[in-house]
Amino acid sequence: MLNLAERIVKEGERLGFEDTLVIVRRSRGTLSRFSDKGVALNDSFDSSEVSLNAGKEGRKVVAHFTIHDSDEICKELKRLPNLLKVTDPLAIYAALPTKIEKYRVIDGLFDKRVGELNHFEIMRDIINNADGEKVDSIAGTLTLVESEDAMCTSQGQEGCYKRSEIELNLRAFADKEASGQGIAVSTAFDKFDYLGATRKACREAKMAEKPVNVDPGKWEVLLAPPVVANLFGEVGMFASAYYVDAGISFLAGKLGNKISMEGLNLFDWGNVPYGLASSPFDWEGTPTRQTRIISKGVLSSYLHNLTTAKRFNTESTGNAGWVVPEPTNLVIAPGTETEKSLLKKVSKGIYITNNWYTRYQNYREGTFSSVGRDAAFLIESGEIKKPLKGIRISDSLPSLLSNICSISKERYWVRWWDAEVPVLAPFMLVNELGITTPSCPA
Amino acid sequence: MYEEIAELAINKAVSFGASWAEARIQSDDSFSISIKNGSIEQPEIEKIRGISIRVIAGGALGFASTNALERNRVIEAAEMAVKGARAASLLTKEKIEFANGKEEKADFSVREKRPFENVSPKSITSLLKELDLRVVQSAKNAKFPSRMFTLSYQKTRKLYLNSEGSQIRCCVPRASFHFLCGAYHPLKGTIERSFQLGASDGWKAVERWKLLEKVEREAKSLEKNLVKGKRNQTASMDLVVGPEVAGIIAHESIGHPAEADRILGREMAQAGGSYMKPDWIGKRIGSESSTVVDDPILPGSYGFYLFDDEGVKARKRVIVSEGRINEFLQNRETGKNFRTGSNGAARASLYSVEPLVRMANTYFPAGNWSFEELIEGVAHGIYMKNFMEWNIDDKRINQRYVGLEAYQIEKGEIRDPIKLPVLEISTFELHKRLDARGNDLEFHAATCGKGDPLQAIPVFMGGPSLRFSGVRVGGDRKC
Repeated sequence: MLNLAERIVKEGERLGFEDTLVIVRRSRGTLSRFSDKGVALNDSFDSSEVSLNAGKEGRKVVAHFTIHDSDEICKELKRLPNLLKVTDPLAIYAALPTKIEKYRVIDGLFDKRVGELNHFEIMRDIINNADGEKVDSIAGTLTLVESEDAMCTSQGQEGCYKRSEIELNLRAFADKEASGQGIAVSTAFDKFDYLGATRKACREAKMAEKPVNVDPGKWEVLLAPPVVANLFGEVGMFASAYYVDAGISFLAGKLGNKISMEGLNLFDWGNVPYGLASSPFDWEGTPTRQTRIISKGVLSSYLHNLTTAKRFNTESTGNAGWVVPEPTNLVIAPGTETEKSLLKKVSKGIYITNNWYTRYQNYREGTFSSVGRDAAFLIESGEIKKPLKGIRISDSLPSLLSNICSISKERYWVRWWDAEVPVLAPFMLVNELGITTPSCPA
Repeated sequence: MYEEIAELAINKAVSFGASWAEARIQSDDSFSISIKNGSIEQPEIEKIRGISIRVIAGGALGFASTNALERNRVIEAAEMAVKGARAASLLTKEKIEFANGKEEKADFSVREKRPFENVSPKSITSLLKELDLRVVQSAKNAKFPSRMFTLSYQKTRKLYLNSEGSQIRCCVPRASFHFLCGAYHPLKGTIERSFQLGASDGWKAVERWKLLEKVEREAKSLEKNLVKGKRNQTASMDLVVGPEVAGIIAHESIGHPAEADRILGREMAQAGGSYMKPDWIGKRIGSESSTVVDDPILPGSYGFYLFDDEGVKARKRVIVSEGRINEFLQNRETGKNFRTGSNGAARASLYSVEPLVRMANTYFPAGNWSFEELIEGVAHGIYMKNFMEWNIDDKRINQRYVGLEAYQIEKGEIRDPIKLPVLEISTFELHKRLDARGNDLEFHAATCGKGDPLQAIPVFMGGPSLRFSGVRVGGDRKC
């Protein structure tokens, strides 16, 4: 793979590019959709991709080829110089670094057992275990991926790494309206607690039977890790200096400002051991690292690539995607509470276990709503009283951040269909969170 | 050459034990250029091509894909598909069968009168710069500090073969424009608008859109709403929505729940289920004004196709007719289950993903009322022309639309702008309250997401202006 990357870089040099970076990726794996009735579809995939960022004379072009034929890719490259000629020089052109980096090996990034697993056995285990939990049905997705990246630049930088990923997203259903979700994700099979996720989904589905409507208003709300992951994944995206610079981030102009409680520390951690999005380098060859986005409640850093770093007169944080700097793994530092102690603190409030469909009124102000999904509960005098339905969080991210009051020490890695950025997420207690409901509920 | 590869895949899959097999070779070539706050960004090009093989073996479905279109790798993929299906069959209680075994032969291509590929990138960047300047210059009382516009082009070519003898070839080009703009006023704060335009066409579509006039109109309305808009007092009132809002209502509250795979629970772990039940054909879910159709064969539409990705001839589907559910969106698997057959609703976004039950172009058909007549009938209400925030629960009942360009209606006349009115309501209440459809049918492009891995597919959403009587509209932050 590195040979192919080098060949394409050389072809770029021959075509006159000053800065060329090539990443070749091969991904293989399986994805299965299953339910208590069996496997709805078993999908095996094997693909190779070549991504290229090439620049000269202040102009750049980005190309992505998911085609296997390397001769064809080299032929396609010949189109790029002409394309560059007729486009504008960029407002800011950041050349690739000439300093040769030695990349660190990241612990736990690749577990060869993942590629050797019999995923049908795992699904059988899940189906059998759910069967004993007395839920009506289950539905889930199990994904196993092995990938290998090789990177090469015209400045002589090289790197490669392998990563394995195993991911279960499971929902259990009980009664007519009740459901619970369980998530298990890891790079390593040892840390993949799929039976724990199965039990959690089933338990919460049973607890959520016969839900009732809730009054809209400002509530004290306990957010479970999947909700925290969904919303902090958004915070991570808004920390991208590209969106800040474009004026479409609620974090614009707030660097150095206190935006949350002192106990909130949010990191982007591109090389965290066992991180689902960990890699030794970003898509500009910059070594990945830990970046404090929020430190003791203060907005401390945006996420940068070389271009935004130049624009903001700082250094890249190793978050380069192709054009936009993006979060890698987000890690929220542990608090001092437990899930149970957080629950005890609530005299009257709501516990939300999952959400989806987060959409914005205004990115600059961070006003949004997000729909409750799966189990939600009314809390009274520190205890779960009854299941709820029809919940929507309707508030703003600045308000949510400023109203966080407690964080648990238990944390879980979350990544699923509607929370794409991996987040090591705790439970969080938030005051005065806006909850709305349909005017005429079902 | 590709036919040989696809035939090889099918023949091998059958020889490995598949009772049915299909192969789809798909290539997607795309190109896009953006402008961000007056500066042209780097152009992006993408080429994705490969083969997928889907089989039934032992009564279960197997799917495999590779982008290596070489004999040995394709044979390997065919074997993986069959092995996967056989292993899955050991866990599967219900055997999978497909409806519609008819052999189809077709070749359909959308011809661009002015191919996008023949337009120089210089012309595209010039247009983007003109658009940016037009927005900046349209400001009188506010500023537009956030402006991101993208022009994109995608050409999708597919070759579909199956073991029943079907062979379908198609080529569909698509042009699209994305607009995101934020206005700012020191005393009034900010407001943002985003929308997408799209068509199955080339550069002619871009010319048709009259983008300079369009972005100027949008910028002016954004500024007016920011500077003069007032908050709505939450109350029950009549609500008139424009075609863009009608489209999202059709898509979210009728189109998605009518997808038969959701109704059968096949999407429960991802995009969710449906309030519609298998035996709900004929059931009333709205007023007589509530009719929603999905039509893939609409010429020039963003969601256009003539044969779906299971080789079934596409046709118009009337999902809800005068308030009653008329038919669901079906693929071959669900069509067998429902004993209706497929109605050609299977779509796959890339070579590497399975075809799922999807919408194409979902809309409320035009009614008989002129826009003026709709407004005349409102004593006190709101006209919500377009929207920004929206979402819906995973059963497609509890939905929310936050209007952007919106106005008060008093005694049958459109009056002052209203800031961010909120409609948060159940599907049944919403469709029960629909009392009139305008005659001003429009379509709006969107990119719809479903499946795991997420498949983003082009669709139209549309409708005429719609009037709802006596719905609760919020927006004073008390709702």
